[in-house]
This record gives sequence, structure tokens and C-alpha cells, in this order.
Amino acid sequence: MSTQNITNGVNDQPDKVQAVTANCNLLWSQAQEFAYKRLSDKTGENEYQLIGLYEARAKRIAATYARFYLETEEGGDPDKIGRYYWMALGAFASKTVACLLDKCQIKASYAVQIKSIANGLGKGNLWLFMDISAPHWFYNHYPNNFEVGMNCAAKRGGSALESPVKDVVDAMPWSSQSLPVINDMALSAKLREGFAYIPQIESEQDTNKIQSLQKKQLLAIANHEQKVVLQPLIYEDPDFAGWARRQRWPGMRYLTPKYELVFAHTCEVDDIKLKSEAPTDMIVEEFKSRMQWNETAAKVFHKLMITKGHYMLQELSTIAGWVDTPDAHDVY
Amino acid sequence: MMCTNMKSLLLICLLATSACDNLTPANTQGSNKVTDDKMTIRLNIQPDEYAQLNGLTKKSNINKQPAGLNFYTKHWSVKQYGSVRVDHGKHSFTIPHALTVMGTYDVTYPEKGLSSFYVGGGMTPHNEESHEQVHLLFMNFLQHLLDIGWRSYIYFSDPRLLPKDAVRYAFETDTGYILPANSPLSLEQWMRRTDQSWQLHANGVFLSITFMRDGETMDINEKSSYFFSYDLIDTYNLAANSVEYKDRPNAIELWPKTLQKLHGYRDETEAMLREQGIEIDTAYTDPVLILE
Repeated sequence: MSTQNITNGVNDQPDKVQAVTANCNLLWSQAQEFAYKRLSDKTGENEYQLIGLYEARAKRIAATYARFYLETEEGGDPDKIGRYYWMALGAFASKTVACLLDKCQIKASYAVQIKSIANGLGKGNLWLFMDISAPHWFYNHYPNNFEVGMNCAAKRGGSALESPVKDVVDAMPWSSQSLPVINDMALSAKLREGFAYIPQIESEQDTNKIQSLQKKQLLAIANHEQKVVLQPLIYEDPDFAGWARRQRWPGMRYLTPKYELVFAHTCEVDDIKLKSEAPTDMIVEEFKSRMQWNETAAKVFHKLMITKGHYMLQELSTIAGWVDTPDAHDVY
Repeated sequence: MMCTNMKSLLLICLLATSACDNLTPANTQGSNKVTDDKMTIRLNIQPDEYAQLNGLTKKSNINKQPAGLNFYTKHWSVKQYGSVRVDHGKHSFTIPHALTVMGTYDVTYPEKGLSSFYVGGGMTPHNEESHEQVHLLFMNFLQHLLDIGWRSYIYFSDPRLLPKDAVRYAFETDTGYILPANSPLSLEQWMRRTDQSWQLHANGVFLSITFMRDGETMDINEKSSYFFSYDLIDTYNLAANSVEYKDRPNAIELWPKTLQKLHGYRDETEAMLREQGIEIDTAYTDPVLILE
């Protein structure tokens, strides 16, 4: 445990400095503050307003993920690029969310059902970001107190945050319904396994072995996000359960549109053949079925990262530039 | 975009936020349904021949990514598995209970055809299986591969250990050391980790096998759910995967230098292990990469 001078709590006086004892709650509070400030605009001296436009949030989230991967985020180390492998895939996934929300807003004109689905989409993307960005920020700044030192990985949770930060987190959209179902953002065994690969990636010298470790890190964190965050938050949400069921109806699969998931910064591409179809047969509850889709997606991404690394880095750099995406007046 | 489709679109997008649920391709249940449950793969086959051989259609089975990779993908479902024949001369074998097969074509190197394949699936067609049963089935499968000429190999940078030491080293260090395929795991060892991997090679083809299982069902007396992943790559890809992406176009020319560097890492570790009294298997020989 160490002591340092640090601004603590609501900074209501200019140049306020007070001595505090750094413990895990304080460090996690700093990490969580980073997450919500990234999605906020500064409106005054020490005043921030969460941006309302879901698409803008999704773009800032994509940018933050890309910055973590590229090691240009706060506390990043360019010599260690590649250790946050999941973040690169997360950037493309959140970009896709931004693209579809954009279509939603422009073309669906706030139709009731669309609004409901968009709200769910916004909720999933926001709380996934709250859940995953803070541990990465923490690891960037305090790797020696993650699993070792103060062992803060075991002490993460929304309820354990320092009160000023906790108040803000509790006031975030969907907070009261989200935190209880995502286990109060505690680090699951899978997430900790994902982070355990990071020092291995950092110290490994054989490129072939690094790629293998990256793949394992990607899958471990993806499994956490799917099972601990998205499944209880989204898949089991009554608003979405019906849609998930319909995805499996034989007649429904013909209505399932092709969607534009491409590993590029753009939303759409001209060549129709670049588009993919949805996995209408995925049964979320079944491990094998889930792994079938997780693995295939991970393999596509992994192949692209290995064989087309220059292109992928260019695209991620473009996405990273969206970090200050402006809010809009018209929100959902 | 029709509004009626928007809802489904959004759900799909939502699933994509899991960072990989379903970013992919080619549903086989659409209007271009492929009914055959058996497929044959062969490294470096040209895409047209592959599509014709397996009845794939371009419209529903190709995921073209703008980076310049095309993924030829076929999915089955847990309700109806497929099987994949790996065509490799006397080293040919069949992967049963397959759920996905995907070949990768790099548009920059058309002459190499589909230069890597991935097959995913189960060891049985059941969602839940006993650990003992899967262990037995997989060890038999591994032995079959050895019987038809596949050989275990280790990373060029890793120490050459005797099988008994290799298993211990793989379990007791965080070095990513690959389990030796020529040393069957006991059931107790099988249960040591949720995920395990092996590597084999035969006549210029390199095969990695990994299984993952539901980490919440690690009680040996309970049933669990397993997913097996098979990756096949050619010699060029093995060499190219050993260099950083910026050096990839020159991977063949760089191979002697790359191998020297990897062996340097091996030498360092072996020297350290020797000091600890661990025997180095000097009879082990690396696969020879014939690159052209």
C-alpha cells in the first residue's frame, strides 16, 4: 500500500490537493472515472455531461478500444503493442454498432420498436465499455497491483468505488438494472485469465507464440463479455428474448437481412459480396453453438491481423481518431 | 433498408458487440442451401476447384474482407453435424462432428490457393459429454494421426524436452509450451486445464488442435461441453507467421535468419534447463521447411 498526493473526490476548489492512502477502491475509482469521462463533454470547471447520442458514444467507445490496442491511450506503452488483442476486435465491433445506430436514427425515425431495440443496443455497448475499459486503464497504470501487489483484480466492483465516482456510476443510464445482473462489474475468472496472458505476451519473443497467446487472450475476454455481461444484460432481457427466439424460427431466417460486418473503418462497402449473413442457428445457451460462432469470428479476425497487419493497423488508427466524436442535440 | 428488417439487423449488431459472436459469414440455411454433410479440404487447392468439389456457391459461402482475404466458409448446426475429410495423401484423415469449415484465400498470393483451413466441432454429437469419454476418444484420435505418419512438433524457439518432461513443463510454466502428441495424457492431466493444445506435422502440412470446454463444468464426475478447433497451414504460412507483419512479404528469404533467431531463444532456455538437471532431447529434429 502506498501514499501519494492526489486529487480526491469532487474537486470543488481550485488546485485542491489532499493526501490520501491509495487502495484498490481508489485506483478502481480512477479507472472508472476514465471510462465515463471518455463518454462525456466538459461543460464547465470540473463539470462533465454524458453525451446522449448513442452513435457518438459507440464511436468514442470504438476509438477508445482502438487506442488501447494501439497503445496510444492514457498510460499506454507503444513498445507493448499487441498485448490488448481483444481491444482491436472490440473497436471493429463497436464501429459496427455505431454504423447501425446511425442507420436506425436516420431511417427508422424513432419508431417505437426501433427505439426499444436501439435502447438495448445502447445499454449493451455502454455497460460493456464500463466493464472492460476500466481494467485495461488500470492495467496500463498499475500492472503491479493488478494480480500482484495489492491484488486489486480481486477487489473490483461498482459498489466498492469511492463515493464521488460511485455516485456518478449509479447515475449512469440503466445503472440500477445493469450492475446487479453483470455481477457489479467484478472480474470473472475468464476475464482474469485474459489478463494473465498479457505479461506472457509482453515477454514472449517468438512471433508465432505471441499470436497463439493473443488468440487465447481474445477468446478469454470475449467469453467473459458474452457470458457475464451481454448474456444477462441483453440476451435475457425480455425486450430482446423474443427477437433472439425468432432468429431461430425457420421462416424468420429468410427475413434476416445481410449485415455489413467488415473489418474496416467504413460502415459499408460497395461490393455486395463483402457482406455476411447472420448466424441464425446460434443457440446462445449451448456452449458448442456459441463457440462455433465465437471461434469462426475470432479466426477471421486473427487471420486478418496476422496476414494483413498493415491494413488493420491503418483502419484501427482511423477509428482511434473518433475519440472526440461530437454529441448531437437529437438523441433517442 | 426495409424497416421490417431493421429489428433483426439491430439484434445482429447487438450480438456483434460481444466482440465476436457472429461477425461471420455464410449461413448455409438460406436460399443457397448446401445439403451435403461431407466436405473435403486440401491445402493450396484453388478456390474454384474447392467450391466445385464441395458444392459451395459464391453467393452464400464466401466472406470477402477488404483487407484482401476471402474466407470460404461452410457451417453446420448442433442439430446436424457435418464431417470433413482432410485430403493429404497417406496422411489423410476425417474430422467427425464438424460445425464449421473455413478456408482462407489471400488475394495477394493467388497461386497459393486456400493456404490455410480451420475446422471446428465436437468429439461427439452431444452437447454434453463425460470427460472420460472425450478423453478416450481424443487420445484414440491422436494415436490414429500418429499411426498414419503425423509427428508431434514443438515451436522452434522452445526447448527440446523428452515427452515426460514436456508434459510437466507445459503444465507447470507459463511459457505456452505445447503438449507432446506422442505422450498420451492421463485423465488427471486431461483435467488440469480447461483448454489444451497439440501440434503435429506431416509432409509440409502443419496441424494445430485445441480443445476448449465449459470452464464451469470441470468436475470429473459431471458432464461437460467440448469444442475442438483444428487449424491446418502450409509451410509458407508457418514461416510467415514466424516474422512480424512488416517482414511477411520477405518471409521466405528471411527464413534462415528467422530460424537462427528462434534457435537462439531455444539455446538459452535449454542451457538454463540443463543447469537444473533436465535432460534435453537432442534426438528431436525440427520439421524441415521447404520453401519456394
